[in-house]
Amino acid sequence: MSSIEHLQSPDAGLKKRIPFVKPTGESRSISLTTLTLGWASILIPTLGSIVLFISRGLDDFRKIAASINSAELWFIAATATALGLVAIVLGLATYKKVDTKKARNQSITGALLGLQALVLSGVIFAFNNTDATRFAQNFLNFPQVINQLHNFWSGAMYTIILATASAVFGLALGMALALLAVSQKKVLRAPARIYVNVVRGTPLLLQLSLIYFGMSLGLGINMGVFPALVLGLSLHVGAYASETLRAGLQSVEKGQLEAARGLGLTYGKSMRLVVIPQGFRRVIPPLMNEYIGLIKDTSLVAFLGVSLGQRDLFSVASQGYAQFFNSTFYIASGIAYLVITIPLIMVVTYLERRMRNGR
Amino acid sequence: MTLNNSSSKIAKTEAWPNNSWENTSEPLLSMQGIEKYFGKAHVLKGIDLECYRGEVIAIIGPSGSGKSTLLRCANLLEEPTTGNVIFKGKDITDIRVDINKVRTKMGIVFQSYNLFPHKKVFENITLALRNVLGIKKADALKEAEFELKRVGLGEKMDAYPSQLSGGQQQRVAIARALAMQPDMLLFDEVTAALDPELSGEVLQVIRGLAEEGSTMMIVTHEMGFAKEVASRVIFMDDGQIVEQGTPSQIFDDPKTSRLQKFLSQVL
Repeated sequence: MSSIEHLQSPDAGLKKRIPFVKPTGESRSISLTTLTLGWASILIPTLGSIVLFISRGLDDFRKIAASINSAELWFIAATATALGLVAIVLGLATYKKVDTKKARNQSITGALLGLQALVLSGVIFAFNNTDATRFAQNFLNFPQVINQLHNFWSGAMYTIILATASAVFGLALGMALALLAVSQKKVLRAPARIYVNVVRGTPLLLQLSLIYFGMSLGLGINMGVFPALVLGLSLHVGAYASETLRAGLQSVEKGQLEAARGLGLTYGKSMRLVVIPQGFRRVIPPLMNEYIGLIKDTSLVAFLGVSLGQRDLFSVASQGYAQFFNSTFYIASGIAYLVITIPLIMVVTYLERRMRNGR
Repeated sequence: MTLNNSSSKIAKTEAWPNNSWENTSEPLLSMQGIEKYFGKAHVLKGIDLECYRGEVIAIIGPSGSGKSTLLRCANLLEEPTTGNVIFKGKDITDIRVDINKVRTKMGIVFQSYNLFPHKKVFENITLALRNVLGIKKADALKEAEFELKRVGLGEKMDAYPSQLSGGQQQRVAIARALAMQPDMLLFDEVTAALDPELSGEVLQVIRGLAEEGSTMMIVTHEMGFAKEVASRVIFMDDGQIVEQGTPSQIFDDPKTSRLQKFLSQVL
C-alpha cells in the first residue's frame, strides 16, 4: 500500500483484516453490542453462581461442594468464556474504527470486561474440575461459624474499642511528638526523633510483648489486659501519627506562621490557632489510613495469649479454628474486618478526592 | 492624626509600647548598625535608619538588595545578626522585651497576603484582637466591620479568603493589620503579586492611609507610587542604603551613579 492510498483510506488495513466491520458511524452499534456482551460475560458467572449456590443451599458443605462440581457451574463458566471472547474480538475490531469517543470507550470497556470474565471463568473451571469436598469442608463450612456468631459480634466490638481507644491516645501522643519535631530547637527535636525511630524500627508484636509482660513481670505493675494493650498500641501508633502530623504541619506555608507572629500572637497560639488547624485538616485521610491499619494490627493481641478476658476478632477466629479445625472461621473474620474497614476506606477515598478538587 | 481614630473600644494603657508618641522629637523607630547574615551571605551591611511619626518611607532598590530583609528586621521577623532596633525609645532586640507586644504596635502586610484560609474574612481580623488584645467578641466584630469598610470591603465579612480576588485579599490583610491600632505599618512588596488593576485598588488604600497621616515603611517596586505618597525615599543596593531623600531628590536629581543606573532601568 502506498502512502497516498493510506492517507485516503486510513481504515484500509483493519478493514482488510476484519471485513465484516465497516468503518466510522456504522460500527457504533457494534461498540454498544461489545459493551453489552462484556457486561453479560462478567455478570453471568457472578450472579449465576450466586443464584446457583443459594438455590442449592449453603447450610451444608457437601451441598456447596456439589454446587462447585456441578455441570451447571461448568455451563455458566463456558457461557461467560464464550461471551468474553466475542466481546474481546469485537472490541479490538471496532475501537479504532468508530467515529465518536463514547463509542470507542464502549468498545474498550467491553473488551476489558470480556478479559476479566475470561480470568474469572478460568478460576471457576479450575475449582469445577477438582473434587471440592475437602475445600468446602475447610473453607465454606458455615454452620459451626454461625453458632458462634455472637462471639464474632463481641470480637468486632472489642477490636473497634481497642483500636479507637488507642487511636485517641496515639493521636494525642502523635501531636505532642509532631510539635516537638517541628521545633526550632534541636534539644526538643532530638528526643522526638529518637522515640519515633525506635518505635518504627521494632516490630509491634515485640513492643506489645514487652509492655504486656514487662509491665507485670519486670516492673510489678498489674494494670490489666485492656489498659496494657491500649498503652502498647497507643505508643506504637503515636509514633506513626507523629510523622504524618509533622508532614501536615510542615506543609502549611511559612507565611502563615509569619502572619500570625506578625500580629503579635505567641508561637504557641500561632500554632494552635493557625498552623495546626490547617496542617491537621490536610492529613486527615492518611491519619484515617493509620486508624484502618491499627484496626488490623489489633489482631496481634491474639499472639499474646490473652484469652482470659475478652477476645478480639482474630482471636475469636483462631480459637474457633483450634476448636473445630475449620478454616471458615478465618474467612468469617476476614469478612468481619472488611465490613469494618471498607466503609472507612471509602470515606478516605472520598476525602482525598474532595481535597484534590480543592476543598 | 493617627491610626487610632477608629470606633474601637480598645482600652488604652499608657505602659510601653502602648504609650502615646505624639509630642516628641524622638524617632518612632530607629534601626542602628543593622547587619544580617543568612549563613555566609551578607545581606544587610550596616543599616542606619530612623522613622519619625507620620513619615511615609518608601524603600526601593533592585531585587536581592535586602529591602525586604530590612523591613522584616524592623519587627524582628528576621533577627538582625548585629545592631539594635529602637522602638518608642526601647531596644527591642533585648531578649527580655516581649516582642509580641511590640508587634501589635507595628503591623506588617506581606506580598503573598498570608490570610488564614481556614478562617472567614472577619475571623482573620478578630483572631488577634481576641487572642492577643483580649477584646470581647462583640467589640472585635465591630472593629473588624469598621476596618473592612475602611478598605472598601464591608460586604465581605463572611467570605472565605479563597472567594476573594488578590486585590481584595490584600486589602483584608491591610484591614487585619489596621485593626490592631498599630503605631506604624510595614508593607513588604504588597502589590508585587497583583496585576495593575488590582494593585491600583490596594495602592488606593495605602494612599488613603498616607493622607490620614499614618506612619509607614513601604518596600515597593512601584516607582510612581513611591514618588507620589512617600515623604522620604530610600534607595538600597547590595545590603546598604546608597542614597536617600525626598521623592524629587531621588527621582529627579539622583546623585549616585548606582541610583542613576537603577532608575534608568526601571523608569
